[in-house]
Amino acid sequence: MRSLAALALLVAACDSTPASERARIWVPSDLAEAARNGATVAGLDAGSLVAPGGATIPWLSPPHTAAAAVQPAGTDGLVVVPAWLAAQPAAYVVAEVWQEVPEAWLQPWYVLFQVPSSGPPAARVPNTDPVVDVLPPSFFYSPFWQLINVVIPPGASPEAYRDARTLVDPSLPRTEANPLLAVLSPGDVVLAAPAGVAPVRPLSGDPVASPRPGAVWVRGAHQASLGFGSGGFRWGEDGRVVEVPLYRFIRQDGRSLLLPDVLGTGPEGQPEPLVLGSTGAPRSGAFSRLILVVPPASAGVFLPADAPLRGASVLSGALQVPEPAPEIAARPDVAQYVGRVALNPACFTDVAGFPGSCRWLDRQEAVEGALLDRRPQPVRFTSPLVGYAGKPVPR
Amino acid sequence: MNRVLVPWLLAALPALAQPAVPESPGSEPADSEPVGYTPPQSTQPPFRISGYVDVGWAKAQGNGSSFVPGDTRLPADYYVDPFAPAVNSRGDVASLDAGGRFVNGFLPYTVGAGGNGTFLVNVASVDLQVSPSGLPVLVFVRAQALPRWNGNGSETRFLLQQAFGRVSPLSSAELSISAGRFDSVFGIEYLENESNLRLGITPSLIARYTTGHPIGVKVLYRFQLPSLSSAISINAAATNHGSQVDSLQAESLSFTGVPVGSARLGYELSFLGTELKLGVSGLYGPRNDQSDPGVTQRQLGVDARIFVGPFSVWGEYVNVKEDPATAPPKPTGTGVYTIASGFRAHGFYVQLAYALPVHGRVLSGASLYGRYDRRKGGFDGTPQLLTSRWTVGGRIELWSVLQLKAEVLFNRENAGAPTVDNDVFTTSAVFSF
Repeated sequence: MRSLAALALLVAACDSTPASERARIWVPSDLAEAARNGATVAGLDAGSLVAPGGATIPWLSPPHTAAAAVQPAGTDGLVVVPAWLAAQPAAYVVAEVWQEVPEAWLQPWYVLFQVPSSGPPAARVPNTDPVVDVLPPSFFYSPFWQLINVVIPPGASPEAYRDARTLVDPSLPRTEANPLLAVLSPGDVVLAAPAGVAPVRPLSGDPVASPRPGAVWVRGAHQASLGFGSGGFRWGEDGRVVEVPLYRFIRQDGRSLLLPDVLGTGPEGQPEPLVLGSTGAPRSGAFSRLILVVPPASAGVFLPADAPLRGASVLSGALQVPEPAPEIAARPDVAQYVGRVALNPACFTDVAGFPGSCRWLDRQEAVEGALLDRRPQPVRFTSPLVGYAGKPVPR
Repeated sequence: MNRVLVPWLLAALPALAQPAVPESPGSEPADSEPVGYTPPQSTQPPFRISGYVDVGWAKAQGNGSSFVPGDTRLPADYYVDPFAPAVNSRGDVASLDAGGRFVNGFLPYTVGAGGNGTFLVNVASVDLQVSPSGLPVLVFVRAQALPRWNGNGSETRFLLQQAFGRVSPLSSAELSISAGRFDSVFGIEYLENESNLRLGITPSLIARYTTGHPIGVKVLYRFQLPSLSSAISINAAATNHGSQVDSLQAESLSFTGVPVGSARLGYELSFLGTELKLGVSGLYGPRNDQSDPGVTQRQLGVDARIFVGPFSVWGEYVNVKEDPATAPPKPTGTGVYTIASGFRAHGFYVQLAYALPVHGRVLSGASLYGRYDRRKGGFDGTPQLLTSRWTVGGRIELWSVLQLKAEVLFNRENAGAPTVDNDVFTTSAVFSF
């Protein structure tokens, strides 16, 4: 026993991975708590992901705007982050953070169906919540679900089917339905927006879609959920969710340039054409890996003359900030270019050629083709799209 | 299945006669079992070859696995007990067919038979031991061959199941120091790791936690208390991975750089015709299916054996707790998987055996036995699975070199896991030399 005690001391004395770097998945309620405490999550300021009640909302406050926008007291808001997806303006939220968890897998989300007393076909059992069987802190918890409609026996009480164990019975008929992105343990989070104002994509003001609160049964216990619809992700035959890169522009010293991110359409180094689902929602972007990229100092960011961000010190020396030609600044669609980075910023004054003459870094293949300094992070996001191409993402 | 087994057992009854605890030509005397296999020194020639061949026929229900068709929860091996449909003494299962679904390394090895009945060469095993005359040193090597179908073709795995040197520095005390690859020191089921030493055929549901073959060093010290008809032993080891089987934690090397400590404290009480053996085991150290030395595994166990006349009762309890890994991947003996999850399990078995008093030249022994296993375990965030098993079987021994065994495993999913047909009927003929 003494030798065991000595061994325990030896183990304790060994260099272990610091708690802040350990594999973990932060769900929305974890992120909100961290933001309220001013903590970091996977090395990121939690306040950049969730705006607690009474805090200023990132992207809707200086340096991006002249005045601060404040999250209403008593609510926690998922910060709407502007981005580019396949050269289109997009917006996403970080609903979960995955540190050192390398893969996400499609999990079943059982929906109860039953043949009514009037006869076939089977219909969804009213007023019943779906059933799932994996929770955080499992590394295999996943917000990416495959809906499976299971037909329970006629006359059976739905209350007997609140545990997935009862629903995997091969004798119960089942069909696969749509995929779904829904996070568990959402707490009371909503999309970040000032009181009385609908959430929007920052920089452009485009409307965005809000998630839908719901509930599920997990082994007989009720759990809240927050649904983001059927879009945003794809998966392989083995159920592995396809991860895309999320490129974030930084300075050489690692500081964020506070510009919209670029979401990929395929795995890193393998961009694919953007696929839209049956609802019209893009099927990329919702499971992303953070990759920091350093643009060349010769590149420039498109910012109109009155954009508050022009004065941000973090841009100084890292990017060119030329003033766009007045004719370009007066374009009705100018908001769609605010914050976009081009390798040849001289195009901002090319009235005849704009925007086609610009070599934009606004899509995966452009960022990867520019051979930028790329710094992959051991951090992944559940990053559901809430806006795309100027519109709310269809649910 | 019962229709097959029961006549076989009835036929064997008239000639039953076999010690409840089997002894093989190479095994240690029963009264010093805590060291597991430790070949005797003084009474043997300096160089000795022995071994056995285990040939079996087995059939499992369903598709031979515990996986349920249509269950798409992932990882598939977190929602069932893949170890349940064991077919031989190695704990190999009939199948691991998860229907192409993702698994994360909570797996035994398999013979790949599916639900088909099949003959198997479970293992061909050769022991080599050298004990230089007059020196307190023994060198032992156990090499094994396992012909298997791997899903894509036939292959034969070759294992160096044991390879150690042992020094017994004091002639006046029962003290030995071993280095190499040897049986675990945790609990008692490792005593039956080999087919020719095991009373029945298949290991218990908790054997996965206690019957590995770690690499490292171990020390055994045992002293007698003649006035109390008792003996006390301590068996302690510092090894790469602890005591779990290779398919759960690789034994070949340490992924963390820090050894795992394990020990068993044993007590033996012997009267005429009656023996009582008790033990308590502990294990602590880093999990060897990840690389962070701060991610630990802990095991506690208690064991008891009672021998009264022709009856013997074995029982063992183990409690396992493993921290979640801090980073991927998860390397095990069967491959490299995604990441090691936090895990808890506890379980026990109780085995009752009856040896009939027959000691003929041809029929040299026979026994009937039954065992009840129960295990509850699960990973962080996924269901705790409660499973159990009834095992019934019998064995006869011919000419003291051939063991014929047959048993049925009734596997039950009591809670958490979906019900599946995964009972097993298995037989084994063990030829020793």
